[in-house]
Amino acid sequence: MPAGIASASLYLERFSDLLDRTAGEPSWLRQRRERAMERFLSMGVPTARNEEYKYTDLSALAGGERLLGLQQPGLAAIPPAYVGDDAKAVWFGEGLAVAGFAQAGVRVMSLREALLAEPSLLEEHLGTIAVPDQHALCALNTAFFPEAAVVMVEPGTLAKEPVHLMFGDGMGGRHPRVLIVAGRSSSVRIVETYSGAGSFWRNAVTEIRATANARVEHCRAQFESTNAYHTGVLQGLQDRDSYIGSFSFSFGAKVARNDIGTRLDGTGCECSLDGLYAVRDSQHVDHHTAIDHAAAHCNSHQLYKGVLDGNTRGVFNGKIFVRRDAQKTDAVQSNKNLLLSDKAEVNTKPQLEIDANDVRCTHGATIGQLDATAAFYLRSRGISAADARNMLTYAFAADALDRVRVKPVRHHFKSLLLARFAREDG
Amino acid sequence: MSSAIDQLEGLTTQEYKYGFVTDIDQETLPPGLNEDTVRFISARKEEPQWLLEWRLKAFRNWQRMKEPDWPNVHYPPIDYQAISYYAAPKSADDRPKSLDEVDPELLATYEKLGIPLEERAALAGVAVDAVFDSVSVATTFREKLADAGVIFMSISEAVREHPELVRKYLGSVVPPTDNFFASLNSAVYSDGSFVFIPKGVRCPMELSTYFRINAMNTGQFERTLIVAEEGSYVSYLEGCTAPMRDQNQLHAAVVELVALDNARIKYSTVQNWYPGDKDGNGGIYNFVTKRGACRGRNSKISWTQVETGSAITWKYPSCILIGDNSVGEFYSVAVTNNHQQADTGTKMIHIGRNTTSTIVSKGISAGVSNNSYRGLVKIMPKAEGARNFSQCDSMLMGDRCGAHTFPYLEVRNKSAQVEHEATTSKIGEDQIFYLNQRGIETEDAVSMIVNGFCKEVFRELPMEFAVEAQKLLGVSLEGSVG
Repeated sequence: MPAGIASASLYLERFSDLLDRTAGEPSWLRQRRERAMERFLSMGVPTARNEEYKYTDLSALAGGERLLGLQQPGLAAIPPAYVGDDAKAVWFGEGLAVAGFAQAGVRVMSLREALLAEPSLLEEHLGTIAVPDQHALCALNTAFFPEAAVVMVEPGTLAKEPVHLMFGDGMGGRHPRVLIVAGRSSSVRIVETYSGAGSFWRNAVTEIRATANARVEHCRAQFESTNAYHTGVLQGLQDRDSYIGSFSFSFGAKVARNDIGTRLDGTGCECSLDGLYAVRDSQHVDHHTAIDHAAAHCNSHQLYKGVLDGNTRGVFNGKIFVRRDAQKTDAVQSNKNLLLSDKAEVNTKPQLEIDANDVRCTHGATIGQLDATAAFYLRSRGISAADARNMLTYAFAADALDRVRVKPVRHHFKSLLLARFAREDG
Repeated sequence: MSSAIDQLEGLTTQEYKYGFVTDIDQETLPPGLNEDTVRFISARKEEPQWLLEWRLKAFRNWQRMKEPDWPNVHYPPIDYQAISYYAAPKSADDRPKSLDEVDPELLATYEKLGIPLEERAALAGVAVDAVFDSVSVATTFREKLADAGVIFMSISEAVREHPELVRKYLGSVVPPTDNFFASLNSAVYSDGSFVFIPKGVRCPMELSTYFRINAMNTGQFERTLIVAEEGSYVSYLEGCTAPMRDQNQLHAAVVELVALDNARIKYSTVQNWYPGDKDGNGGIYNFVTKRGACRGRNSKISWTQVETGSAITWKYPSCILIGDNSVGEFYSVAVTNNHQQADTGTKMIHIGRNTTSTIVSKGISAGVSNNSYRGLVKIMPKAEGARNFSQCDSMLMGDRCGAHTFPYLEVRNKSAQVEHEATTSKIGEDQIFYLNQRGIETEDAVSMIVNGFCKEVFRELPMEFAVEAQKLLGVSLEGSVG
């Protein structure tokens, strides 16, 4: 029995329930689930002894009750749909709602629909982009997801409206699974939001396949209750000349851990992985990014900003791999943290692993506090200490938000940010 | 306790029967490591009981430890039972009789480095009297140091002559239980240097192991301890630029520095152990624990290293900044070529208020080598106003080499300012072209560009060292471009 799992009985019991319920699934999917379950049981829920989880100990989750146990759904504030006014949200059941997909060339399907409509595409991509073999949490989701949102964008489609996937309460909401396949020369924007009340564990996996010359702008926001645990994987696979942009907001959850990565598998690819985490009280937020430059002439950008107040801990680990022969790579990474409290803690580790020589890779990390002279200047102009502090905090974080390409999302988060650290006393 | 003190007194008053130069042919212990080995080493060195206990404690602890697997280096497993832990210096009969018997390639390297003729023989391990010329030099220096009150001797001597000082500071920075290799070193260390700078003394010269003749064969487990009392200053040089041949493959040294109020220690290393041949056969494994404690207010410890040798380097000179306003510095150039692997960097632990640290690391990889920077900057909650600046630049010369950076930043105080930046790039073709076009050979052009890249670090080296280091860099990278 691995160190991470004290008792596997709950997992095994629920897994056999799930296999009964999904008896109609094709054999390849069943085999992938079984294989993932096997891998999960051998690896267990990661603990701080695992170098990748050095600063984020998930041993409290090991038993699986928070993930698999039956809990009363709470009443969470559902975020607004970030799509046109006339678009209506469609409930998929099991905690998932989708808005804004009624447009030519974009299909959003449930797992069952997708298995009927596009069986070969699903077999090719589902569970092969985010590989569960070495990643316990990815394996756990692959074994257990009851429902999935499958977004297929036809070749050449330039989707005008973003697609908004909303994950709320309910069992499906605890194992969210998304597969996005963007056809040749298509362009699409996807927003995922995660909300929920109560004390639960949500373990999400999103896979993105950007085929040649496709463009996917992805934005993932989580504002779950501060009793919840959130773990998420976002993994991209890119063909030549494609682009994946990812933005991760992390405002909620007691402990949030996001693994975000993409593999640049053809020449001329580009990706940008950005994020903003703004936490307070005793929240813990962890982002691990991994960009795998497997082909030549690719560019990658990363900007992660963090604002930490109260007793919080912010963790950032950004890896850039440049494989042998991935020449002419240009990779830029930056992580900036603002500490607002004496009890907040930052652990950052920007990491470069480079095996090609004709490259330009840079990374930078900073940790600091608000500039006293800037605050003094504002006060000298008659602005109260509290307002000055809010303005400067907002200014620090806002430029990261400018990278969000979906306007209503950007505005919503800017307003959330402004209110987030507002204090009357200064 | 009283018996231990009696023993101490007995030992300190007795005459040191081996003299200052360990030139006698001692027996060599058969390979293997157990408690008896540790007892044997301690007995041979006529160590007091407390030191034997200390070694045994380290050994017992080591037995329970696991060899670290996190460094980004790969080597076949080491069989610790296949190593002899007490090897006598090579007797004159085994060594080459004259320079004619020495590998011509090695001699050519000495030529390029501009090493004086008389020193070449010593470095190549030739058993000629030239080696002992420096005995007289050493003696002159010793007198001068003694006048200033500086204690500079081998650590075994110091155990006999100044047991109270050694006992107070040995293992206080790197405890015998610190890590796998430090524990191994604590259990079986052969010899090393001890430096003590008394209150208010500015050491009149730069100390170098080179002047301490019996440091020539300290073997594979070297132990260095430097203590700088209030207001003192010392600059210590370790190693030398010429490639050193050594029959021991595993080197696990420990260096401890202690700086009290207003004291400053500058520790410079040039490491050029045998890196193995072009195909990666042989070469030294250099697994070193180096750590300095800034215990006093306004104290300062500065590490400067130029690492060009060894097949595998695993080394993180660190500073623990305890005293308020203390300063830690780390300047490093690490060059890897052919099949070399280096995982090196630093740790800066900020504990006191207004502590400052600077890290400048330059990594150069060529051939099929791998060069990693691994560093930790940790700001503890009480370290009000702490400041760190880190810069790690890597240069890649060849499409089969690797450069990696693993910087860890952990900050637990909001008033801290921590900055880290790193870049990786290729040696500029346009720069080489420009130099070529001004009539400079490609090899010289590369050397010039690389020296420019490393200038920030070389600036920190003592003058003579800096000149040698520049030449060394050119030699190490020979054949890596064009």
